[in-house]
Amino acid sequence: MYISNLFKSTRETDFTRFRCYKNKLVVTEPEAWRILRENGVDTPYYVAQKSIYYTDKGLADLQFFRMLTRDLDPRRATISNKTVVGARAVGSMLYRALVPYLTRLGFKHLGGITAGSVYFVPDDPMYLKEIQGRQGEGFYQVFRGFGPKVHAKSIVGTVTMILETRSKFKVTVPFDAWPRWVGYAVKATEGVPAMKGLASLESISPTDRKVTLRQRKVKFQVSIDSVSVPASPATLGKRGVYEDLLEFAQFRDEADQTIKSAFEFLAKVYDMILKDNSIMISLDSRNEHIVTFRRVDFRV
Amino acid sequence: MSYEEVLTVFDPPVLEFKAGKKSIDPVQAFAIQGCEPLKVPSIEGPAEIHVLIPSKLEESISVMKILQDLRAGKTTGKYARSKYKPFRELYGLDLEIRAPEKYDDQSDIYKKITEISRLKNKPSHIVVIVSSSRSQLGGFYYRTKVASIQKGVQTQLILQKTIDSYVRKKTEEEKGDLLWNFSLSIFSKLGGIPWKLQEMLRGVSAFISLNTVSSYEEELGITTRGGVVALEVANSWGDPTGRFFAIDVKVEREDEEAIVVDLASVNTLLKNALDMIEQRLIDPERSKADDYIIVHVKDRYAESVYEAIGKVITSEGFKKYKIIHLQEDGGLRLYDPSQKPTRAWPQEGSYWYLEDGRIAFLFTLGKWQYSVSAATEPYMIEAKNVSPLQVNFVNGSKRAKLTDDDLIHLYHLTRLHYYSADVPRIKMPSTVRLGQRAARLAASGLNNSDFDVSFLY
Repeated sequence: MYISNLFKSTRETDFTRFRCYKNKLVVTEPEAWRILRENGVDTPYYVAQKSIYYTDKGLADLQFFRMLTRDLDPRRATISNKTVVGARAVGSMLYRALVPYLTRLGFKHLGGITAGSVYFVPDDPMYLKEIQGRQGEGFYQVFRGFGPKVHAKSIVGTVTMILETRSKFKVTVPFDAWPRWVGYAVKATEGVPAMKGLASLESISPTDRKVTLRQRKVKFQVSIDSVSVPASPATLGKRGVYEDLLEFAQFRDEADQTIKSAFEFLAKVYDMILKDNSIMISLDSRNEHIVTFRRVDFRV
Repeated sequence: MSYEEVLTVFDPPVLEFKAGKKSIDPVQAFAIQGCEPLKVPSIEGPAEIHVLIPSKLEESISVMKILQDLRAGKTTGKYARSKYKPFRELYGLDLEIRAPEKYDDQSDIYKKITEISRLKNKPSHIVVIVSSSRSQLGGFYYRTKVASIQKGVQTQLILQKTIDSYVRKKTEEEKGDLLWNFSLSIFSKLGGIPWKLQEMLRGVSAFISLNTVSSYEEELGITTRGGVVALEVANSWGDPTGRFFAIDVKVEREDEEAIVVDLASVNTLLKNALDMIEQRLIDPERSKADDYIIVHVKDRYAESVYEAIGKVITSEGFKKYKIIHLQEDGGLRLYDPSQKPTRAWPQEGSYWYLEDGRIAFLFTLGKWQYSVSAATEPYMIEAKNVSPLQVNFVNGSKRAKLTDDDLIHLYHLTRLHYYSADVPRIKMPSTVRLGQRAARLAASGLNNSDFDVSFLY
C-alpha cells in the first residue's frame, strides 16, 4: 500500500451544489480585488462575472463591503464545479480557506495565495537554510516547504488537492552591501515600467538613497528601497551559492540527515496538519461551513 | 481513515535488436545477452574520429584516454554496467581516432567542419570537440552545433569537466555509464540504429512535438526569444528514426498562465512537419483521414496556439489528432513506508487517472524490474524523490480523449533515446526531450530547415 500526498473531498460536500453567497459588484473586478486585498480579508472570496462570491456572510457586515456592492444583504447562491467559473470560485475559495487553517498551526506563507505559495515554519531548520555571501554582499535563504495544488474541475462534485513540496530562494542585501551588486540584474517595483521591472544596477548614491538602473540604453533613477535582487539561478550561480541552495530545496542536503526524501518531509508536515488522515477546513468564521479532505492511499 | 485508489501497471517496454532478439535493458542486452544492434551502417573502412581541443588546454592525454577506452573497451569494475566491450565488438564498426588538433576560436571549428563537409564519405566522420562549458543559447556550444548541422557534419561535444571527472573522480560504474552513452551516441550519429521498440505503437501514425525555449539575456535576466520545432519520431510501423524542423519564432507573451507565440511561424512549422509525415507514411492506399497525429507539448500555451495547431492539422487533411500536455512533475507522490527508500516508490509503468479521459499520472521512473543476472548492477533509482508525469489531454478531434494507448506511447518513447544506455532512468519521452534540444538550436540560429533527428543526439 502506498500512502500519498493526494487528498479528496468527502461526500458530505457536493461541489455540484456548493453553497456560498454572491452579490453583484458596483465596481470593476480589478477594483474589487484591490479593495478586498487592501482590507486584508481572511475569509474565502472570489471575484468573477461582475460578482463577488464568498462563504462567510460576516463579510457583508464589514464597512468596506459598501464600496463593492449596493446589495448589502448576503445573497445565497449555489455554484457547481461543473462550470469553469464555478470550479475557479471553488478552487480559489478553498485556497484562501487554507491560509488561516495553516497559519493557526504555525505556518507562514511566501508568495501569492492562489498560486505557488510556499508554506513553511519560521525558525525551523527543516524548512529554512541561510548562507552568508562570501564577499559581504548579503545573505541568501532557501525556503523549502509545501503548497496546495487544487484540482477543482477534474471530477464533477469532488475536489482533489495535492500537497506538493515547493521551494523559494531569496536574496537579502543590507544597505551597505549594495555597491557589491553593481552590474547585476535587479528588480525595481517603481520607475522601471518595462520588462517586469528588471534592469542592470549602474551605481548607488548613498546620500539620497537612490540607485541608477539601466535597461539597454535607457537609464532610470529610483529609490533604493524599491530595488531587490531576484534570486535567479544565474545570479545565485555567479555568487557560487546556487548548488548549495538547490541541494537543500531538493532534499539532497547531506548535512541534513533527518530529512532523506521529499516524502519524509511531507510525512513530518502531515504530523502537524492531519487529524485521522484528514484536513478539515473551515470556510467561515463560525465554523459552520466545513469541508473535509481525506488522504488517498493507493494499492496495486 | 483514508480513501483508496488502484494503480495499474504497464509491462516494461521491450526493445528489439538484430535477429529479433529482445531485452528490456540495453546494457544487459549488449553486455550479457549478446544482442547486436538492429542496423549497422555500411561504412567502408573505419569510422574516423577527429578531435578538436582548445589551444589553452595544455594536455590532451585525458580526452585521448576516453577515446581509447571508447575504442578498445574497459574491463575494470564489478558489473556489466561498469565494464564496456570494444566498440568493434559491440557495434561491428572500427574506429580510427585521429591525433588531436588545437583550436583557438570558433572559426577554427568552422574550418574543420567545412573541410569534412566536402569529403565524399562525410557520414563516416565525426568531430569530437572539447568544450569548456555548455554555454547559453546562441553561445559557443549551440553555435557549433548549428554550424555542424547546417553542413551535415556530425559532431560530439564533450565538456572539459566530464573529461576531468572521468580521469580523476568517477567510479567504475560512472565511467562505464559514460562510455556506454558516448558509444551509443557515436554509433547512432554514424547512421546506426541500436534497437527499436518491439511493440508497434497503436493508435498513432506520427508524433509531433512542439517546444519553446527562452534565451536568457545575462545582463537583465529577461527571456525574449523562442525556438519551436516539430519532430517526428517513431511511428506505428516501428521505424524509430525521424526528422525535425526548426523555426525561430517570436514569443509574443510569456507569463505564468500561458505562452503566446507567433502563429504564422507555428503554421509553417507544422505544415512542413505534416508534409514530411505524409511522405513517410508508407502505405499509399491509406487515407490521411485514418491517420492519427499526436502532438506532445511541455510548455503551457495559450488556447489560441492549441486552436491553431488543430486547424493546421485538419487543413492538411489529417482528421484525427490529439494534443497532449506533459507536466514533468505533477506533484503527486506515492510512498510505501514499509520499504527501503529506493524501493518505496511505485513500480515503473504504474499509472492512475485523476480524471478519466483527461488527466493521468504516469510513473516513467520508479521501482524497476531488474535483470535476472547478478552480474548487472541495477541502476539505482532516486531515493530522494520519484514523481510521475502528469499527462493532460488538451484538445483534439471529435471523440478524442486520453487513453491507455497515449500513456503507453509516452512510456515506450522514453526508450527511444539513442544516445543513452540508461533509458530506464529517463523520465521524459524522446519526442519532448529531443524537441527541446531542437528548440534550443532553433533559438540559436537554426532556422527554416529540416534535419535528421540523429543530429540531436
